[in-house]
Amino acid sequence: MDTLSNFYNLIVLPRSGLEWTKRHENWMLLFFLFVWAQAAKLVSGMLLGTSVFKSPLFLNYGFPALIGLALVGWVVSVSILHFFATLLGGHGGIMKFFYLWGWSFFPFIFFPLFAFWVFEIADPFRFIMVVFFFFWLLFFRMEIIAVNYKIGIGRAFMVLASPFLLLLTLSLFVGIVFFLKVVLGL
Amino acid sequence: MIVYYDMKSRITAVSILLFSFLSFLLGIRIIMQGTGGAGKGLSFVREKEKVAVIKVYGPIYVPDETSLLTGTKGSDRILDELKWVLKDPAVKAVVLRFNSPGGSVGAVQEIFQEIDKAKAKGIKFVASFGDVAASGAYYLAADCDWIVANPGSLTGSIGVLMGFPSLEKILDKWGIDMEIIKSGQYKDMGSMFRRLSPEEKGLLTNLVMDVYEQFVDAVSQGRKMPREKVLELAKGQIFTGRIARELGLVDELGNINTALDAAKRLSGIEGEAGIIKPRASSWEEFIMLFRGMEEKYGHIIELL
Repeated sequence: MDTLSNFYNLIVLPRSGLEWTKRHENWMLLFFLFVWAQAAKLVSGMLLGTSVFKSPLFLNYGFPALIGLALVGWVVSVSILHFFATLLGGHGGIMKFFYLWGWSFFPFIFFPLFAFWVFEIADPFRFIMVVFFFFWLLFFRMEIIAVNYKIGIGRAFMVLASPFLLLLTLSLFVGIVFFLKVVLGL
Repeated sequence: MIVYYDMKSRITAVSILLFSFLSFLLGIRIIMQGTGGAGKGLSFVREKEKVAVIKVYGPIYVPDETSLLTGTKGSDRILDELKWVLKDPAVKAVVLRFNSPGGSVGAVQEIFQEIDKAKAKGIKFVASFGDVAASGAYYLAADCDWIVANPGSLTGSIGVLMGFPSLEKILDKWGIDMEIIKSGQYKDMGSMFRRLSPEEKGLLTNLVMDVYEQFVDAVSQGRKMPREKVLELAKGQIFTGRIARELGLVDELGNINTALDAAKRLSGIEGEAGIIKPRASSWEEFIMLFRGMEEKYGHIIELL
């Protein structure tokens, strides 16, 4: 097995691909893929007419700003997910997780392929393709958490969902209190 | 076997990565070429050129307050919406959808100025009449590049009026006197506690006629119609859409879709165009959930 063969595994057998990746750290390759993934996201976004490239951040500072933002997002995501993974009984190092989470951007390098070729050939199935891509990304990220913290896929899903559930609960609570206090004046 | 497996996986991985990279490069090339024109390139690749629809419903007036529940109102809302849609460089035309009996001069002229500014930047405006677009609403419509009305829409009412209620007789009957201390003889002109003097009526008539002249000028310039002809039609009478079409106050008979087609045609949009409608604020959307007011504003992008 080598790096190139492992790409195949990462695509079709993410668990074994990520296990191999965990054992063979290659930061240079990761950084290269990270930049490529961000560029691919940007190009796909522009092709699909999303508003990413209209954001003041991109208009003022260009692609480096998006890289910077993604790096910040990387650090923040790792910190939050490490907290919840540990809380839910996972055991794994944060630095190793930081490295592995970098690979969560890996599916994005295929985004232009989806955005361009797949959509062009099968435009009526665009929704299905988007859903497929979303679930692939979700599954890939769950596998990263499962591999790093040695937990089951179900618990890995809970780790990913927990921050959103917490945010949703807090928002609902604040929203209800606000509605009762300000709108209804109770 | 292991070698075969490695070769197979390598070839598959390389092929997928290569295709992804080629798609990426092709995507960059398309973006660099700027295939953004309507009808060019791949259908999903470019951002569609858009026609914005703004509703001018109800009396047009400058609001005296901003409601926490409904956000800006009156002419301020229309101005906000115009500003919002014109921020989008893909918007090439605006359809003003009227269902309004008119409104105050100041409010109408505030919107009128914004329309002129946008027109100077090349944005095309089309007026679409629903049930009624009279008086101040027609003032605005006249500034549009094209007017579409239903045969039975009511329009016209080109003119200005001003009125004050007078309680003088009631106060006399009840024996109530109102003591007014004023700095000048006209300061309480229009007060409901006394009738206007002939001199005051003359002053207000001049004022009304000045606004009327502005209205007539606006229609004359907007419709490219001789002033004399506008004066003939500007006696306050109302017309149906069909008669207005014969008189030259309306360009075309049709509905909102006719107006959207006209907007596309005037702005040179070929093929599909997106239609945008101003979006409500998040807060308004939140309130609408509770109030069932989703008809107020959509934030949808539909296909024309």
